[in-house]
Amino acid sequence: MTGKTDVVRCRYITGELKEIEIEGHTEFVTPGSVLEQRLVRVNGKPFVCKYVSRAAGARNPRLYDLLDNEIRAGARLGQSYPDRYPRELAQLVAYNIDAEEPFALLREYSGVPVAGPAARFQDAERKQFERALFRLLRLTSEAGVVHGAVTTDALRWDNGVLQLVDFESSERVGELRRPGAGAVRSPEQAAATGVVDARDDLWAAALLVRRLHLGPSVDAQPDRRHDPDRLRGLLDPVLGTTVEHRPTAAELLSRLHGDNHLPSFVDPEARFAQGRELFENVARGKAPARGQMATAGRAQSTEDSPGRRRKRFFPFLSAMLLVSVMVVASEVIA
Amino acid sequence: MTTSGRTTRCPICADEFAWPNEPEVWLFNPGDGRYELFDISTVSPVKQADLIRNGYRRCPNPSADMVEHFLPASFGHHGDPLVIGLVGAPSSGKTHLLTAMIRQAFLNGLAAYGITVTALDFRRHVHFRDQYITPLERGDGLAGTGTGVIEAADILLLRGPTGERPLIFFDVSGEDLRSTDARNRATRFLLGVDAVIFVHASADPAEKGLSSVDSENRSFELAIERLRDRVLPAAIAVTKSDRLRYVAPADRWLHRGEEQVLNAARIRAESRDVYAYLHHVGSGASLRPFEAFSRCTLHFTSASGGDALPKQADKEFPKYFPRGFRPSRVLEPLISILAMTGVIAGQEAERVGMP
Repeated sequence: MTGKTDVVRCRYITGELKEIEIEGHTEFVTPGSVLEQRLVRVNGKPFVCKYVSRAAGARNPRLYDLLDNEIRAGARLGQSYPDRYPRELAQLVAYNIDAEEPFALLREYSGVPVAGPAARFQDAERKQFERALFRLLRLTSEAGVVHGAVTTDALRWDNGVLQLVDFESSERVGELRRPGAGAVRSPEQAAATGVVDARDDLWAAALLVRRLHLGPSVDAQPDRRHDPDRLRGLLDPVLGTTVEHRPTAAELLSRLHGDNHLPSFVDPEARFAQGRELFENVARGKAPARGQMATAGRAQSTEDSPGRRRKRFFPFLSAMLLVSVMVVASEVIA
Repeated sequence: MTTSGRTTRCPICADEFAWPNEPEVWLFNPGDGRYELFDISTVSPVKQADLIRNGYRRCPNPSADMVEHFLPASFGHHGDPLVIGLVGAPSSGKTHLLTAMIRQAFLNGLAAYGITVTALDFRRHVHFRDQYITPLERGDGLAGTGTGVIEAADILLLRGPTGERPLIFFDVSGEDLRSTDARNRATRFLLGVDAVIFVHASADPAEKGLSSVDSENRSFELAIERLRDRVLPAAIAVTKSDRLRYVAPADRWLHRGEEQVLNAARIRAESRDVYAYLHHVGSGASLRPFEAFSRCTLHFTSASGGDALPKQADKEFPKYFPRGFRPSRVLEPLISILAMTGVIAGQEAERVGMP
């Protein structure tokens, strides 16, 4: 991707292959991204393009994994909210992971990094921030995506609307937890044991809320006994328990009387339900063949195995014995 | 002719014959490209063993229906050979899959199952490596298999807990596989196979000229018909699954990478997902092997990790892989076949591919 306009092959989040024209390459930086970024235009509209240049990829191959995480999370979110994509989440539009310079194309982010405005938040805005934070985690958890680095670096603020971006550390619910070195990883994430839980992000979110209310110095004070009661009531169930006992984002949002409704949600797996059912039906139909297969690949199937021949021989032997006994008995009686 | 008394089926002509035990082997002369008969009765046992390891025996081909062909001289010294045929339409990715599979096997990809792989036919393997593995490792794309090829692609030796078994792969041109000529020599290998890997390429709607659905119908159907009276284990490999890397349900499986433990339930879960995917995208015809073979598994695989692109914009070939060669889950179909044929033994293996 060099020069002013490039025609590039890419895939939409559905996997469909397309060619698009990308114009303009203005360098772009967000505090939560390790990847190189540019602001570009496609069909006259602004987009964020995250990419791995050959030179950067050669220096640090891990960058390809970060881009893969970003695309994987974005594709899942896009497939989960295909009709009305929530503006609270960065929106992946297209990608090409196979190019020499693989990239992800996302809709232009909204607002600015939240760290600046958050320093001036009044209490009402802090509460607005809390609700918005747990709402966007409700959206990600519903789609089975864990962001993995929920900090002010990955959040943007736009007149009361919070947006979560930079999914470079993301994971998928139900998969094995990945080792990582982030400062805000929950004990389970830090230990990299077990499987990813939709509530993994809540730990980082709780720390963020506490910091927002009590200031940066609170990071060095894990003892929460002197925290305000309201904050303890909200955050203790998150920070004081293991992930299995943690409330969900939806439950926390309810406690805060936040907006808990979901936009039109589609389970990307649901369209395969009919095929899975058909598989089971066909498998059930094949079940009687179970006994035939012990010697597959070792002997020609058209020949009976010794075991099968023995099985047929024994009923035959029994019948012959019975007939012999009857004949002898009839002669004795006669 | 003295024989070992052991009957062997030639994987090339599918004839059965008593394995010869004569004190002579055929040695290949690279100078003139011919085989020469060599008497080994007068050399020391150590040299005899070495010549047998590197030499060949001529198949007697009792049916006299094929050109002269040779098998590794030690072919009959091991357990029953396992002959695996790859069946699929032109451009379905059979050659890429086979190449990636053999490469991964040589990279100790079967070690988790206690199996090691070496070449049994060294000359054939060197040819396969030079023609296929090395170009792929360089990041170059491969052209398809030429029509009329009747030789095994590679002959390997598996060593594992259940003993030693020759492993023979047949990769026949998709064009030949669609031939309805019963005398087509290239498809005779089907008579001698012990297991089949059916190869279906993941469709890319935007790719010009792709019509894999119809042609795979024919390749699969013709192979199934020829194998109808046999009870064989089969696997269906959906190649080029990297195109589905971020699309359910393939994304979940590709993300797992190579498996290290045999787990029949997991293989069944993947099989069900692949079945559901092919059914959903209208490739039901490629599911025929699952219905036809009582023991069959299905897998998402990516031989190269991505699409090969033309090196020059105005020419289709040569191609290259911009990010190199990154195979994913290519051994899964083979591992299932090994479990279903008893090479990988145990209760878990016995459950693999069961309905």
